[in-house]
Amino acid sequence: MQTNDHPQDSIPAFVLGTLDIDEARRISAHGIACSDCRIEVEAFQAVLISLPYATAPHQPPAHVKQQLLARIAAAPAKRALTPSRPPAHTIPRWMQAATGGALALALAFGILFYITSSRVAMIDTELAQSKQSLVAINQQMTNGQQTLAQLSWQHTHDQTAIAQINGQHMQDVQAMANLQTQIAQAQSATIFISAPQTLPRLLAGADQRVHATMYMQPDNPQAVLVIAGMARVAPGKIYQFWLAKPGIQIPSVIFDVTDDELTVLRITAPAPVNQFDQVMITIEEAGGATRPSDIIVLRGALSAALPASAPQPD
Amino acid sequence: MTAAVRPTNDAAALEDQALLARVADGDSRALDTLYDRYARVVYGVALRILGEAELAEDVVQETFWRVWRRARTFQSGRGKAAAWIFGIAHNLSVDELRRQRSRPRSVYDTDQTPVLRDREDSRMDVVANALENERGRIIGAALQQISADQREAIELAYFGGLSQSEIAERLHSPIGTIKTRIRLGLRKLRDLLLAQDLRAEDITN
Repeated sequence: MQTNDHPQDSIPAFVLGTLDIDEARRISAHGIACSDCRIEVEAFQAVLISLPYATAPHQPPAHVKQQLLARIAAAPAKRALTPSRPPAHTIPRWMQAATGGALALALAFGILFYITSSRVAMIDTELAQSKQSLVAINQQMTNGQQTLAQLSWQHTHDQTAIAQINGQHMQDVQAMANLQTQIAQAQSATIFISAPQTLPRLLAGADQRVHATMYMQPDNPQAVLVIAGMARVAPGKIYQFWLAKPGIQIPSVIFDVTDDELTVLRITAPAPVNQFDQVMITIEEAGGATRPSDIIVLRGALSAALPASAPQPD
Repeated sequence: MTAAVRPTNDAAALEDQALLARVADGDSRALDTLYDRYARVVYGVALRILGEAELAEDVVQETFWRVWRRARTFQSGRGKAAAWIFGIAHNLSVDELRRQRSRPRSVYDTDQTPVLRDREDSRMDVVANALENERGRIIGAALQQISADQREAIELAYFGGLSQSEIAERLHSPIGTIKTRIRLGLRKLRDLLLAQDLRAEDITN
């Protein structure tokens, strides 16, 4: 029951510690100024502290006390106890002096030993730390060397790869140049062949699978020879083109065919082609010859087609 | 009976305060004496609250360690030395119990017998601990005269370390009912002890 704002009904629970923290604080604050409630609290506290005797006492194991006393003994002293009395018997003054000197000397040596030991221990520690640092540095150097070796190997490998790429690139450039040359030649030949004044002349031989046509123009020393179905010449040999008229055989280009089965040759004669009577292709020794051999692969007549310096018929 | 084995209560109280003063000055022999005087009760309370001997032993050691370290803070005007020591032990035990609330246990778990009603069957060392038992007999007699509901609520609060709301939940009763049981039970205990012409402070020394 609350009377005149005195929290008397809550005081038992307050003493037992079962109140919420806020209510406990309120009663505690009230008790500071209210002597009646303070007396009430103390009365219940007196009852409360009798409760431990309501349980059955038990003797704790002996080690509990031993551990407690050991803990106390190991703890720093709380304060100096009663000063110890001087001994009943006295020591001669000279012995006191000697004893004091010896104690001072022992203390000095003790301090010196302690300092030296501490210094030695510190140096040992520093030495051990330095050794560890040295080991760590060596390990780092080893790792660095390994990394450098790997980088060098990689660099060499990269250079080789770059050289290979460069070589391939040069080959590609050369191939491209060759293709461009071939294209230019093909375009030139196509232009020559398709020109309205151009006349074809067939060349024939023993091998019926080989077909060749020579394209020529009046009063033009240039001609184009297109060959199909001709086999590659034997090793050490070469094909050679000839221009001939009675009593004269003029050697011209030497060549071999490719596997494309179509060979286009650009012929430049020493005089307009229509001034010659016939052309032929022979097989010669590698390097060519000044006089044709007896191995004639193809031949064709030119004179019947177009008279020298004669106007081309419509 | 008690006078034959121990000094009078007032004399004992004065002696406890003197012992605490010596403890405050760093006299471990004085603490040794206080230990022999109160460790049985402290251990009994801790054992009853915690239910485990090892934890109760820790409470005993920590209680008297704090007595050793804090004896200088003890104020005789605020109560008896025994009450101060029991307060330390009780707080330590309840704190430990609350730390272990992850596996809550009832104060009845050990033998299904209420702590306070179990008191009368525990007089095992009558000769050596006559005073303890006499005090226990007085408290026990008073406890038997309050209602079982009031006794149970006080028991759960003191030995179970439960708040009023926790007790209400445990007993499935309204919190107002629990407050009333605790209030009436403690008041009746106080009146019973006074009726025996025993001051509560005499009971504790």
